[in-house]
Amino acid sequence: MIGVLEVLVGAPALFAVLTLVATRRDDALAVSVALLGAVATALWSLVAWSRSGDAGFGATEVDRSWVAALDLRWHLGWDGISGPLVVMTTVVLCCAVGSLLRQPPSGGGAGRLAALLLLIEAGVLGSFLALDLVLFFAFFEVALVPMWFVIDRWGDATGRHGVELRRKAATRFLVFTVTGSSLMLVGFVLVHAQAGTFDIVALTSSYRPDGPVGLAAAVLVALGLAVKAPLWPLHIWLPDAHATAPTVGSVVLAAVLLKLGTYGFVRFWLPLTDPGQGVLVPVVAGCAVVGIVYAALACLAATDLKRLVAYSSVGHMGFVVLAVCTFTTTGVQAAVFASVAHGLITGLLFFLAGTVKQRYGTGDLRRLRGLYGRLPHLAGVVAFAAMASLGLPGLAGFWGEMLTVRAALSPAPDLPRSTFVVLAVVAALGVILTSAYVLALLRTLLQGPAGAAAPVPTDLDEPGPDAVASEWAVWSPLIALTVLLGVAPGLLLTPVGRAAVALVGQG
Amino acid sequence: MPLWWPLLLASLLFALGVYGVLVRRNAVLVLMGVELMLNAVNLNLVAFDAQLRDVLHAGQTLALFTIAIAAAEIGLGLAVVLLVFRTHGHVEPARLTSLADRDVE
Amino acid sequence: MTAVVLCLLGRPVLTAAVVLAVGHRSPHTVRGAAVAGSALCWLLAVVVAGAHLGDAAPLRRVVVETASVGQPLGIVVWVDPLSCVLLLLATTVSLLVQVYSLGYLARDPRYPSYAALVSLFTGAMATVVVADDLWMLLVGWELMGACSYFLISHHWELPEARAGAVKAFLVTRTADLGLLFGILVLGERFGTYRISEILSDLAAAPPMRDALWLPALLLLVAVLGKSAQVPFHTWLPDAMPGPTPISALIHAATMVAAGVFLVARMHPLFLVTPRVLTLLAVLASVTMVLAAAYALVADDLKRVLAWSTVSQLAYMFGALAAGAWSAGVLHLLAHGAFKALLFLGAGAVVHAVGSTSLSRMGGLRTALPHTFAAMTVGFAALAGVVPLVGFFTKDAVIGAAWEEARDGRLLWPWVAWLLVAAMLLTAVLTVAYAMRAWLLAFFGPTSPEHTGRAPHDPPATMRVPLYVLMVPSVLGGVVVLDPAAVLGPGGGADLLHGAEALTTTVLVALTGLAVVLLWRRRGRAVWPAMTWPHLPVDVLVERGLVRPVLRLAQVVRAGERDVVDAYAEGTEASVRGVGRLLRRTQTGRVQSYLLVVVVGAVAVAVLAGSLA
Repeated sequence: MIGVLEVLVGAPALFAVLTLVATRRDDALAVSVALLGAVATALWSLVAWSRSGDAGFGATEVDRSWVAALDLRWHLGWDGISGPLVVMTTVVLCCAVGSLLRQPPSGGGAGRLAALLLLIEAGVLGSFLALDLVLFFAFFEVALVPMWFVIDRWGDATGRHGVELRRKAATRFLVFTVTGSSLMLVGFVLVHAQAGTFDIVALTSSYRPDGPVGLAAAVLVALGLAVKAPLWPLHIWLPDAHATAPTVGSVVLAAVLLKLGTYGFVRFWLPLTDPGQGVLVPVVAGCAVVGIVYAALACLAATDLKRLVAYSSVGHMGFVVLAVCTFTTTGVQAAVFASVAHGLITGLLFFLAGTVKQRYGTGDLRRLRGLYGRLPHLAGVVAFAAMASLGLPGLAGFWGEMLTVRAALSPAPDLPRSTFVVLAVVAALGVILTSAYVLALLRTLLQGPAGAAAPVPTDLDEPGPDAVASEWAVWSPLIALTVLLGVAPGLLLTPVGRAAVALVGQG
Repeated sequence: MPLWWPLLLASLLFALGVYGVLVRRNAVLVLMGVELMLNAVNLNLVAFDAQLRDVLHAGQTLALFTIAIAAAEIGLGLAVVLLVFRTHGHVEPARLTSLADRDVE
Repeated sequence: MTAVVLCLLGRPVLTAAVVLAVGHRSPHTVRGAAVAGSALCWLLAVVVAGAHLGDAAPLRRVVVETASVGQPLGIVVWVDPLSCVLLLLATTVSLLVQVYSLGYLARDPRYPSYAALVSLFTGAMATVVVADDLWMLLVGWELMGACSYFLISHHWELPEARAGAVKAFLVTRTADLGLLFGILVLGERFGTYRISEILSDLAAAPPMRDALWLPALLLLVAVLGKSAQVPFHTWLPDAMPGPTPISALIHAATMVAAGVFLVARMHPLFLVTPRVLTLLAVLASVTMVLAAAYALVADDLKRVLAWSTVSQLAYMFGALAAGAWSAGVLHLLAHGAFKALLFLGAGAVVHAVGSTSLSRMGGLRTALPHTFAAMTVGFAALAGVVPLVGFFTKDAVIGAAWEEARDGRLLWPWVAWLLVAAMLLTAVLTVAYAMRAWLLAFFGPTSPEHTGRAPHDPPATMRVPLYVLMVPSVLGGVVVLDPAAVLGPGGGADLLHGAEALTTTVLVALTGLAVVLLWRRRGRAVWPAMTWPHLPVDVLVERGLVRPVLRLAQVVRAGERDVVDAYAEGTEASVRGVGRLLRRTQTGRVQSYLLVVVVGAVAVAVLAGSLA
């Protein structure tokens, strides 16, 4: 008997194969097949949600033997922490695959690109649902490798050394993340040596990290996840990869793949770590806060639109990691909420950056200006997304940051409270810097730079048409969800809170 | 029969095979060298099986397994050799260096 | 009644959505939808106010809240007389601004987004005033900041508009961190985020003076930022390049009024923290004099009005700091009426003359009779001329400060006297700048610089709001006679002060006389206009904050390339070097590979044998 969750993981993989088969006939047909697959997966994720119930892992949990000799189990489960991320992933993938229908990538081969995206989706969904450490690792790798092809084959190759830079960005991405995940695997093995199981549920309920081996396992797992999240200073693969990847690649990378890291932090780094042991947790939290400020400063100096959005991701992920490091229910809620919100908002921002780049042929912020004058509708959506990104209350981005600060002001009892209060204040100052760079972006990109008499550019060709219907169709789910979560955060906070209690206890 | 008789024979066969593989300039003869090595191992397997009186006869089983694999391998190998002859006009392993690192060649 | 309140909150969002959706396709429908939406809002506000003004019990209802761990978040409304009067003020001014904008922005292609933002702006203010949950209040509070950002940069072609909008948003958002942390600290101290519960706790428990100064101070920071008080005072005048109706909205009814509202709402909290209140009094004293001095010498009509807003807001804070809750709130209402009138009138002047510079106006009394009448009423109310509304409320404020200075219940004594002195000085300065602007704009010869078509009164859509606003500006003083009827039992203090009223009236009359005499003698240049292109605070912020941050950003960018990147590049280079060595063995000759294998196998065998 195949479980609901196995179908959820299998469907994108199956449709990826079907898409590849359809590619032999026609790219447009293949993309349609892929879109069908993405939508079907999204709908099925809602089915899985309704079947899973509220409490614990509910009725859809699957737990079979996988590789008995290595003590590996085929253990999938849906709860309040994985659920929101799964739904967000399927929605973003629908948008990404859908966008290929009308805006095929510049190098051709839309069908194969769509198939790769579906393969990534299968890997990501598997990682979110996996409740066995090694199973998580396996799915994690499945999600990573196709991304190399996406960047290397469809990436942006404009410029003198475009092709080489693209290859370099793709390889750096792969090497960094695979190195990180190998460290993580070593950490898993250490955990197994201590606890005798890879099962996350068992670890959550009974594992207590102990001695130097426990600490080493926590450090290794944190390193692996920190590369993926990414945490400063391990973020340097990210700007290149995002700036080079095709639009859908950047969207999936930012909205979905980064969440693997933050999800890992929430799901199994928390149980694998003893907050009172050593300075690991304060150091990780400190890196997160440095990342927030650092990313905002990098954004202030950025000259490329996609690179700016990429750096902003580093800052937002810093908030998520800071939230996790508080070891509180509020922190877990904040982390999951901020992850989901970042997926929606940054996904939208990358779609918009791709559209701007496509219209003008460049993402250079020193040349792009006066979008309000030429493409008012697109500019309006950019303004909306930018406001969401700077954490305007009433939109999804705010609640994650607010809850993070709230959690950091009262962390778990084992943690040094005064340190975290300082971190919370610095993170809040990072919010101001975030506002500053977002406003600077709006001012140059949409309105024209300071002091310029003619804000509408003259050195760029006439851009293409303003936002068209197919683009609205891609953006609107993301916009709608951003507003919905901003107005009614309880939709997400309630289930996440329930699952968080199981994870870190009441508090 | 003492054990060292078949072992000696097997060693000689194996050395012969290694020699053939390393120095022959015709790929078909290289493949024959490989066969010699495989059969030397088979001989070892059977000899130890008999000597140890294994109830499951794992040695004989494995020898049969090796023979089957060797048959498949020689089929593929000869096919490769034929294709190489068609495309390159010769079957000399030392001259087939298209897998070399470009700069070294 | 809860349903009405929710409609009231939802309606502006709906209006904004409709207006944006209809967009450019049908200009008439857009205008109709915008005005109808605002009118509906106003009607709903009237219904709510009718039910909850005065002695009626406040409405408190939890509409929805998160069923999650920790203190719940949710939409919780609390409507008391204070909410009601501010709702009325906000929706009325917003409706008038929408009507006025029909004429003011008649040919503006960006009207749809403008109307949508005005709607949202009003909705955000309504959210702030009816919120019981502090987070809900914060949502409205910051939403207003964003709306004002977009509205100020409505004419984004102008570099001043772009700069002013950014400055407004950044300054207020920085100050808003105070609100964020203030809410968090309040939640921690009281175990709830509901305003009503916090206030009832404050009323019930003995005041914890030492425990509460921190949240009060944090809230104060947010308030100072939102209401443009020292040291955050510079953003408001710089926001003047926005369309004039927006200035009316920001200055009279929303944005800056929210700061005063928050202090009024949390007044019991401030009352138990006299140190914070004293700080507020000092800052208010400085602000009111400073801003009035700026207004005195500004050349731009809108900047005069902007500085006067800053100065009048400081009056309200002064009253609240002196413990005179109802005086502060009533002055907020009165100011809302006459400042909206003044800005809309100024808009009509700008519409006619095509410039905001006072030096390009003059002699407009005959050309714009309706506008002249409106502006006269507005300036007179601002100056506090008997019997206009400004006279009564200003008198109430000064009287309250006087009482506080005499009795000394809350503030440090010398601060209370400083406050009274500042208020009296500001009253004089207010008359002077109001007279000057009025004389320069409407009397004297027509400006020589003014060329082009003859100025004329605006169309009816712009005149009607002026007439409507003249009514409360003239008759609003009635409220002061019986504040309890409007503000409920909390506002029942006796607000008429004979001695102070006489003093201020004499001061007003003398100052007015002096200005007129000066003007008679020296003509247009009553005293020379001056501009401070860079206010000292601005220079300080620019030198001490903005430039270092930008330099740091450049450093980060360089460090990213040269330092952080180095470890990745170094790893790559070393791996490449090793690879270059190893690739030499890749000859492609199968037999040489095999030789290596055989030699290796033999070596391993020998090694194993020797070790065993």
